[in-house]
Amino acid sequence: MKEKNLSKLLIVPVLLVILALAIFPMILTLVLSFCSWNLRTPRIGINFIGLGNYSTLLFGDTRFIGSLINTFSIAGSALILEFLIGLGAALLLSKKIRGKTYLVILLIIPMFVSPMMVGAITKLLFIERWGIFSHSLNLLTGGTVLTLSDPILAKLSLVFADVWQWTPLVFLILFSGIQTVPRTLYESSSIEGASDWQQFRYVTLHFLKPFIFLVILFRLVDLLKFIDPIWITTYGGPGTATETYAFYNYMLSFVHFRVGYAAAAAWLILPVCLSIYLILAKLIFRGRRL
Amino acid sequence: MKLKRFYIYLMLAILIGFFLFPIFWMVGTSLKPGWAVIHDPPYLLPPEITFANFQEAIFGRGGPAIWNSVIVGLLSSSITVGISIPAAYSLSRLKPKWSNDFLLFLLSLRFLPPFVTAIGIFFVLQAFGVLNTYIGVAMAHVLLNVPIGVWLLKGFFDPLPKSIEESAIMDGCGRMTILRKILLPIAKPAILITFLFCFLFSWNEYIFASFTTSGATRTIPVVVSTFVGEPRGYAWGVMASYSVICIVPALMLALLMRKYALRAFTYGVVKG
Repeated sequence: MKEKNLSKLLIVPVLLVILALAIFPMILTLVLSFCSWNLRTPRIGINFIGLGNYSTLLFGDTRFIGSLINTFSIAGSALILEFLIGLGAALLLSKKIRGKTYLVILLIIPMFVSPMMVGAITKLLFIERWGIFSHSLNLLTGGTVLTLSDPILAKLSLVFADVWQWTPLVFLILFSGIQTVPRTLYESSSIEGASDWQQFRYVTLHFLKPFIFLVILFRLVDLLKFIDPIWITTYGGPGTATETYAFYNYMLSFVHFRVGYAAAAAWLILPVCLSIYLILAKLIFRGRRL
Repeated sequence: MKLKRFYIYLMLAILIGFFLFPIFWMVGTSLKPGWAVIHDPPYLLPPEITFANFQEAIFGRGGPAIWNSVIVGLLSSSITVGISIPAAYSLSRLKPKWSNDFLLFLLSLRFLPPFVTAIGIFFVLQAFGVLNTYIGVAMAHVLLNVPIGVWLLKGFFDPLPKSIEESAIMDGCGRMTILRKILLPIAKPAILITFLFCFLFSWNEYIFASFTTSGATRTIPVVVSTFVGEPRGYAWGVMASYSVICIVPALMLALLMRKYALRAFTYGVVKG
């Protein structure tokens, strides 16, 4: 069999799966987004309403806008913290340290935990009175801090959840980035009298730039989908203070079963995700043959 | 100079403590009797160790979830690896013109908002009548893992020596036979690693598992999600036990496959 044909044949199973379980469902969801359909009221059936869902979402749904704001506030804080701590950890572990490999193993453990379990852990740590974190806060402030019942503290607990789980990934990416810096540059710049800070700013950071871009883009798109830890920690509460975009979307799809509306909510965020992807693709593809 | 060393180790200690303490807390909670979990002030160490939580987790109503997670994980990983190997072989050895585009297309799937596909997948699986079956969840997980599978395997195949394959071609050996008899045997560790990562992602996955399973077919994360809003200490101890059960395989995999963690979590885009 000709190689050209064989190469195409070998990817057919993968293509079939993607067609049946990604492409086709996406088209289905797109069509649904232009209809109003509530699976809980089957007798009303599907009605085509054009852009009705989209306009309601953007202009008439404060809960939706609220979820977007929540997503950005949680995501933004988490991203900044993850970047700072991850970078710090990467720099720290680039020094001569004994038992470095064991430390790295310990550090990457949170990445392997299920996000749902991270939510469970966060709940147990932050629950008022019984969680050790809120207990410590009580000791510090002398009162009873209602951690998960306070909108801001509840958001912070979720920031903690994401920071705890994914800072190790930021660390890993930046750590491997630091390995690409030629050692000789540090030596020669030391001889020239460069301070630690100058070395960091002009040598390390220069080589880290592509890795920093990579890590920010990866985390950004994952944070837009932030949902798993919310279930047990706050269930979107208090009220809707910790409802992220993905959480609200899930509620619409599989709790309220307003699938047409949910489909529109899903497609609304697609351009954002796509733009992030295009930036990333350009970055990793710069001339490189993959 | 000694002071600088001290600060470095101090910061390291804080770092390690930060990332390990929550796990320690979780394990401690799973071993605490119900009254100790909701004790104010909280106990740092269990006042008495009990295995009742684990008993309830494994033999109680949610017990089958453990078995379900295992089956779904094995099923979805086998299918994923099974279809990814030919694709990775094609991209790595046959190097067609469109290989870059195809890889980037696979990568793009990771960047999709989940509900753009989830709602549709729900109806597709319903149409095939596989909701609430193992194969239904497994196929959803196959979709999620195939991009990683192909990227990882291709990344593993690329550096393998081609000399044996090339001489086999010259002897007139067919490409498929080369795949089966020459490449696959050398690639066994790579295939195992890919399989284990796919298993891990399926084991930990919640969203797609939640709407494709219910009752008897629930996986562990889905069962844990039902512990929402339980104020009773005993229930939280059980929830902690499920979490420990869920984390243990993950920890073992983290230990075994640390070298490839970076590759797996960034789709092979960043090689550690």
